[in-house]
Amino acid sequence: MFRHILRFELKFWIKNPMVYLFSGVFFALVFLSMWGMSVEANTGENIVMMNSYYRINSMASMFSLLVVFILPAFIGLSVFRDFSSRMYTLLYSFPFSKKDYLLAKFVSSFCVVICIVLSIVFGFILGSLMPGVKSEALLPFDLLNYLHLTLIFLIPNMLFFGSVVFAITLFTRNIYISFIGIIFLIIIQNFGKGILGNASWEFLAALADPTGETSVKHVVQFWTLEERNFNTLPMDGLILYNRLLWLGISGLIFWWTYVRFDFNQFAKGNIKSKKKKEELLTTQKIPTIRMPMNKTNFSFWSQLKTSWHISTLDFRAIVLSWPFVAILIAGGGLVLFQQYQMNPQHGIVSIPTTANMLRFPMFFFTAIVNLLTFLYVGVLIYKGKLYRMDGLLDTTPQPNWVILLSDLFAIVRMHFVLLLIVMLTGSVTQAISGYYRFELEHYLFELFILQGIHFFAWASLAICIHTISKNMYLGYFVLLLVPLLNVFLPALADYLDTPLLKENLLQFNSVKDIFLGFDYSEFDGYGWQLTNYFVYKFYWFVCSIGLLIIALLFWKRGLTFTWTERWELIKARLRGSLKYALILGFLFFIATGLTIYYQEHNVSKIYFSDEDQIELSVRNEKRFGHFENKIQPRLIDVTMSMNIFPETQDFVAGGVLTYINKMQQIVDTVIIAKSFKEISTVSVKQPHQVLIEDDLLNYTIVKLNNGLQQGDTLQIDFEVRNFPNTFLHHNSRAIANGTYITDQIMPKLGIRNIFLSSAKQRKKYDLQERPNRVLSPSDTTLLDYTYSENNMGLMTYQCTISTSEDQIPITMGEVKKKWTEENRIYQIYESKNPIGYSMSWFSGCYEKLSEKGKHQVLEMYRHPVHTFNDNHFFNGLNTSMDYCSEWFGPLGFDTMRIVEYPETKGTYATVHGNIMPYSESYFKCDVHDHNNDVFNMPFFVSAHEIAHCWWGHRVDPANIPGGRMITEGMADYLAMKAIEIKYGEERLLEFRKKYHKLYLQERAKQANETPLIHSSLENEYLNYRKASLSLYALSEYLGEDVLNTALAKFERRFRNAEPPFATSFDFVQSIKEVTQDSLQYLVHDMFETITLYDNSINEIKFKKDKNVFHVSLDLSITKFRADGKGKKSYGNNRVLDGNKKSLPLNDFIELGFFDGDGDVIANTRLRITEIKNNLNFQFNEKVDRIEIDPNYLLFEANREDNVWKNGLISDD
Amino acid sequence: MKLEINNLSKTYPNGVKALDDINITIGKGMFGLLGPNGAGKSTLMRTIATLQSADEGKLCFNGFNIHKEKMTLRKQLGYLPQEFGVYPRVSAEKLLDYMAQLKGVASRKDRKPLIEYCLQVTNLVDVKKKAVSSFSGGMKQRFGIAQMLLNDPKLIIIDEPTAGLDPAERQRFLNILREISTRSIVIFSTHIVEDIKELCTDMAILNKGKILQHAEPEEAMQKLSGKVFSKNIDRVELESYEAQYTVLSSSFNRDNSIKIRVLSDTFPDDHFESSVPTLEDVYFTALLN
Repeated sequence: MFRHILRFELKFWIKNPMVYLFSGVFFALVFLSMWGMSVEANTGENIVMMNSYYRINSMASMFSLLVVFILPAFIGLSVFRDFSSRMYTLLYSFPFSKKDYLLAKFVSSFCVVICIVLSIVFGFILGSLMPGVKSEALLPFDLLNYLHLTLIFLIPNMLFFGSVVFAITLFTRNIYISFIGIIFLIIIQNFGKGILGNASWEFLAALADPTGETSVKHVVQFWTLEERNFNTLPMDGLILYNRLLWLGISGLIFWWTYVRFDFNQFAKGNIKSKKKKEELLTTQKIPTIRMPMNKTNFSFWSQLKTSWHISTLDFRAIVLSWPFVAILIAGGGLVLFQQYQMNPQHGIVSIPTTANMLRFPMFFFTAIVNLLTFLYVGVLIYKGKLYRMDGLLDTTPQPNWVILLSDLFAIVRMHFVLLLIVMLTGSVTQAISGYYRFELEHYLFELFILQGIHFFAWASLAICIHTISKNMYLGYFVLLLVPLLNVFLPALADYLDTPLLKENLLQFNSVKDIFLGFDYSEFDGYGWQLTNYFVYKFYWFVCSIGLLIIALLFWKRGLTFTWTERWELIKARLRGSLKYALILGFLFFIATGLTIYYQEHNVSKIYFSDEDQIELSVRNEKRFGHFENKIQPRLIDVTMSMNIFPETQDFVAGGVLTYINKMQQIVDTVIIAKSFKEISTVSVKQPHQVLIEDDLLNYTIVKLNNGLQQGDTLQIDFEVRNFPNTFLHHNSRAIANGTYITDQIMPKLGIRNIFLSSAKQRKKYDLQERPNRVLSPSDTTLLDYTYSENNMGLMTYQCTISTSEDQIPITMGEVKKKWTEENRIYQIYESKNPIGYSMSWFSGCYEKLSEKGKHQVLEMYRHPVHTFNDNHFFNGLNTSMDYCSEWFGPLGFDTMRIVEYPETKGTYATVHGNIMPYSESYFKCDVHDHNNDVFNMPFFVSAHEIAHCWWGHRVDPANIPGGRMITEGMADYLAMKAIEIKYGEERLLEFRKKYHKLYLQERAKQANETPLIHSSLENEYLNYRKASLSLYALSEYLGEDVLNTALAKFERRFRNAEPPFATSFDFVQSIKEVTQDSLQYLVHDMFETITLYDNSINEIKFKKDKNVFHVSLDLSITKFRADGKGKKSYGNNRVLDGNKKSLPLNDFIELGFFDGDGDVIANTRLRITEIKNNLNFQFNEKVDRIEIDPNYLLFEANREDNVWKNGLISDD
Repeated sequence: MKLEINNLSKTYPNGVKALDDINITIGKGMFGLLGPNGAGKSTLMRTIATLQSADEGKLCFNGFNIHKEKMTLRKQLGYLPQEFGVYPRVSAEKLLDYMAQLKGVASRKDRKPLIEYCLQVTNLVDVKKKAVSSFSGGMKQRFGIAQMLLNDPKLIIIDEPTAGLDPAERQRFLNILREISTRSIVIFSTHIVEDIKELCTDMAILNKGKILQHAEPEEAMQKLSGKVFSKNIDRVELESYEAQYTVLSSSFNRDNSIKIRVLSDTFPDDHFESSVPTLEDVYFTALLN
């Protein structure tokens, strides 16, 4: 019998066009993306293999998630259609067993799912074999990889989700619940991932993920690019357990379904309700019917009212149904969890402000809301058919728009319930965290207005697509593809070289620069992004109305049997007002779009698209490239005024800039590059001729009548003001509160350093090859002046700054004079000592705090409510300042000022003269948060930034690779010392462990690691993490005094020095000079190579002899070099021991012994020369833990086998 | 008050001609549409109820074209399909309130007495708080009537309403219909001749999309008077009688003999008895043509 049912079922599917459509779409998606990526693949140094197993696996998991969402359309439908067609009333009388029935149903529909899964796999295979692909970026075709992927991941995952869907549909007799069930499972999966992952039960988290994704992530977390490119996932350990576990669970679910299922359950529903049925035996009286007066009312208003009222029934049906309640609870739980666990973000643990509560859960929550919208709109549109009530409903005298509107109302009301959850959980999180600033209006405004209009557009699209679509499954599928399309379009734009496709106007419901959630500052709220948001959302609102009109045209009412018939109906509806509404709506939509496009591209003064920027770069190189090596004079004095107008959000600055020629060459051509985003006027005071005035690149190039000799000065008058703000564009850097303007507005000398680097683009724009100059510290020509960004030397500074009376104006230096005039406050600032070239101007309603430090007065200007971290900032400043002053001599400033600027302008901290601009995000740090075991970010940032006054300002290394390794590495190293002083060694060790892990994780993601001395300027994981860890290790190995003395000597040598500037070579050399011969290898390993260890404790033996504990240890020590991609090598003189390889060893390795309380019994530094080492120790105490390199001085990825902890103790 | 159907035709994509050039005019009162399963009854009913369109032809109610002015018709229409479901877990009262709004009774104040009245007429007052989805067949059909009455319809279309009802329920149901039909056109389709006989003032017989006969029941029976004869015959003889005469119907007697009814202009032979024509005879006569 099984075969008969199976054959019958398969026939059904073979005739079902959905199977071909879904498989086709998946194939096309995967095939095109694979082909596209293989054609566009980058080749060369950091080549990423497009079809590596790891890549295919992670891409396939993304696509298969999409399949999971539509699983009910196949596996659910297989049984659901027996219910919906009422076939089930006959089924129990047929002569087959439930085994045959269930198995045949599941197997047949699962065949369809396999079909779709295979279309994905074939998409990958064929996509990588197409013409035009870069063969260097592809591994040879390996069937085994694809088999592995299909059999180990894709099919078992489908089995699990499929068995759940099958069970739900079978027992609830409702296919919609299985769609909800999938969403529910995905929420729970993420919940589990989050909770377990955060509680550092990574192993459990990896096991608990039914898709196996987390286990894969766990296994590959430290893989370098090389490994990601060529390795296959190991089929053992975590991944194997995970797969077996979930295969078992799928089997259990299916078995349970089988046991619980009973053909009679088909009838049960009726039996149950029959009990309740009451026959009302009434007399055969013939009624007299006299209907009350006909009170029908079909006025527009009453129809509108009707729309709203009838939506109540639908709304309640959705919201009060148990699947929705389950989603609400699970979703609410997830949101609460995400809000509670939002930290740390970018290393910063933040307090639960309302903006944070709203921002963090949005990524996942938006997806849930959208999925529910797509699903429930389908349910609403098809509910008449579903409950076979369509005959009654469709013949009522309400026009289609009333029904459509009521569906829309029901969904919007559902949105409000969902969004309310965010507010509730947000408030709960705030209350739990002891944060009692509940901002109800902030919640309501963002959720119900900003997010409300966002989801309204999705609801409209869903209504339109479900109305047009032939069945609900197809509509749902198409809707799932729309957000995907939004992601694909920009990629397609690059591929087809049509920048138009990148426009947000073409990506449904998207807004330029705003993606899920808003930037919010407590200084000026949402600021100007609101205007931008509303403008775009207005455009999408018009689009939504258009979609709703189209939905009205296609509205399903009554029966149509062919597309021609449907088409006739649409044509009939298109007559009259709907036609004009559609045409007008369409025209208005296009007009709005064009207006925005025009505004963005032609009116905005400060918006530059990628293409605009490329064109500017090309023009810069073609027309002005020959000025590249022109030496320019350097700035030595700024005397200026800065007037900020918070009311109108404008500013104007002006004054005199004085330059001096520091070089021997005569300077006669001065290239002045003015800001792109401001209106600038400049005039050179010396007699000159203007050579070029370029309005596109904003260059003024002049020829001086008398060239500047070395030591000659040049003066330039300048005025800079913002472009006027318009309705759509905020062109000014001044804002209502918390203005933070940096020297980006200032005119600069020298050609702009905006040369194109991509070889492909250079070819396209017909630019000559620009050899990628190897910027090496050994290249002395780079140590001097070329670009304006290069070392400027020191300058004197005076500024009169003004703002409105209620705000405080701040810039560098000390206040010399202060007065109020016409409701504006004026202050003259003057810097006591020369400062480096970096300037900033502030205006805001700050609260001022000050504290007297050992060396100077510390001041802080911050938002009045940001009181949380005042003492941490001051402590960090003081501790680090004292340590640095002690070793490198005092700073010259009387005052150091921290000034807070809005989060919306950045999340960094820096130093300008005696001012330290700190992002609002540091002020919102929650040092006492439960997640914050290690980082005291406010303390650390202050300690780090103040160190820059010495390392970065006084010593300003050449602007070449290795340069920032000195400044950032030193600042982090000194901040570590501050932590050690303030919080002790143990706390620092935890901190360094975290840094250590960060370095290893980040290097795994990069493919261009270099030795520290060549570390490029933007390479944070080297400049910050590795450099500071290495310096700290040296201070331990060489001794703090020895190292710091050498560093101080280096600092003195390059303090405020003229060219040639300091390089990483000089830096390392100065350390080598004080390093004893036996440790020279360490400096070489850490700074001049990429060197890592792989150590392990192999065996351990204990012997207790009276009160003496004998420990016998078997250790392996190996050391290797890595190249940029992480490929290991062991040098020519490698040593071998068994299967272990190593560089030659003559290394000092620490070995720590700890007692049961974790206290150190002994920490010995051993000199190791062999891979295998057998060592014996004696102690008076029982050893509970032994660890190689317990202080994390060396770099090692796999530290799990470095530790032995309280294992077997043999007393014999 | 009249419904005119002119040249109505409909062919489904699978080639079935459900309606074939139908012309009929229906006035106030109960109109019975009789026909075997698959005759096109439901198609005709749905077409009149604006649920589907015809390929050709015109439908006019009181002078306006139904398919041009669907809303005008729907305002005066009561429709009860052959089989209908309702939203689960919604009480009779709530569902009637919902339907009343859809039918244009926008004010809550007006709806309340209206719903109460409809529940009363259909005798559902005691179960108004119960979910309609849990009602028995008869109660559900009465609910169907209740929702139909909400807009005091002038044209009522009921598709096979009595199938599956027990005799008491069926009687109760027909009584209500009968009462309504005094003030409006009630078209109801059935394949049960009994239903028509008892209530209808007018009727038509439909088969394979064609109207075979349109007459008042009494008049149709009158026409056959003197032409229907019956005889008890033996089981084995049936075939030869069928060859010889126009056999309208045949049914077993208790003694295993068969009673046949024959249509004939003249007395067939001595053993036949003259019979009073029934509506069934009319129906079978029409189908034979």
